[in-house]
Amino acid sequence: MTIVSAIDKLTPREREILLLVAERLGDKEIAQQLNLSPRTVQNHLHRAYEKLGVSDRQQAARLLSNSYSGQSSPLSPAPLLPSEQGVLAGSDRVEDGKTPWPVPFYGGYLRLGRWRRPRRIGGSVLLLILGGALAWILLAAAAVSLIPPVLEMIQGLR
Amino acid sequence: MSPLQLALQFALLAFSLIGLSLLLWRGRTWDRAAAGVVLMALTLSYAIDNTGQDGFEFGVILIDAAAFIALWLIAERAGRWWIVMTAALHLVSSLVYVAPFLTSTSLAWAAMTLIWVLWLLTSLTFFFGVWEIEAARRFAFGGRYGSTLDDGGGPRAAPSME
Repeated sequence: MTIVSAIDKLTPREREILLLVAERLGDKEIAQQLNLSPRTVQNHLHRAYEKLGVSDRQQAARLLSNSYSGQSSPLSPAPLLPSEQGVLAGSDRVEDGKTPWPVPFYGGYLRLGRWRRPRRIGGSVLLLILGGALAWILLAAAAVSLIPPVLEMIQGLR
Repeated sequence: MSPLQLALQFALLAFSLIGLSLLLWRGRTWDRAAAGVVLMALTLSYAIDNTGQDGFEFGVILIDAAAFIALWLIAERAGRWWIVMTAALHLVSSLVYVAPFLTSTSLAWAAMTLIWVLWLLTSLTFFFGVWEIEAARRFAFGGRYGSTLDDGGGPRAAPSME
């Protein structure tokens, strides 16, 4: 079995988890990001190891990485198997059978790294929300405070 | 409300509804839940607004606050930036109604403009959400679907991991 055919057997979720493994995320972090239980993440990982014929996460991630960066022949687009379209593990639906649309600026998305998903600060995204709200309020306050002098200036010009 | 304001309001509403429809169509469970919350808040705000009763703004504040809490709880689980941003904008729009310096008569028009700008930003966030959903979906596929202008969309467009 070639590397390519082994990787094509991976489900989208297994690939997603391996990509996060390659970013040096632990099981708990991956579980948090994907809204899965750590046990489900481990199950996906073990299934991926079996399919790739490797014994640990580093080997699996390296294999996947090499297949993307060093293949001379392109990977064939993997059609979703019926089993991949439904529930893979636990109660989480892995994919909904939708083919992704063309995504402009996908390179920018990739460059976000771990920030592709909002990071929890103190175990919650509330600080991010409050920070965002504060930024908008400051912007709005600045805009409102600028209105009277701008109006005066316009009237002065008339 | 002048005809121009009315036209602008309808244009904004149509823009929002297109964004929300795309989210409901392309999104996953939590995206759809968040879009549903926003849609419900929008509908209820309009319904209360149209009753013309005194103190309707209190109802709008209540709806926005409830929507904010729902969006926050969804954002905790969804792991999407668009939901975080929408929750933040909802919080700001709730605060605009209660900010005393904005509700004073001299700056009432500024408050109204601000609410419309916030609405426009929220609508833009919906389209950002669609982009985020599709990018995440493509990422889950290992970058093998969806050609793009910047990387060609082939296997080499897949995320580099080293």
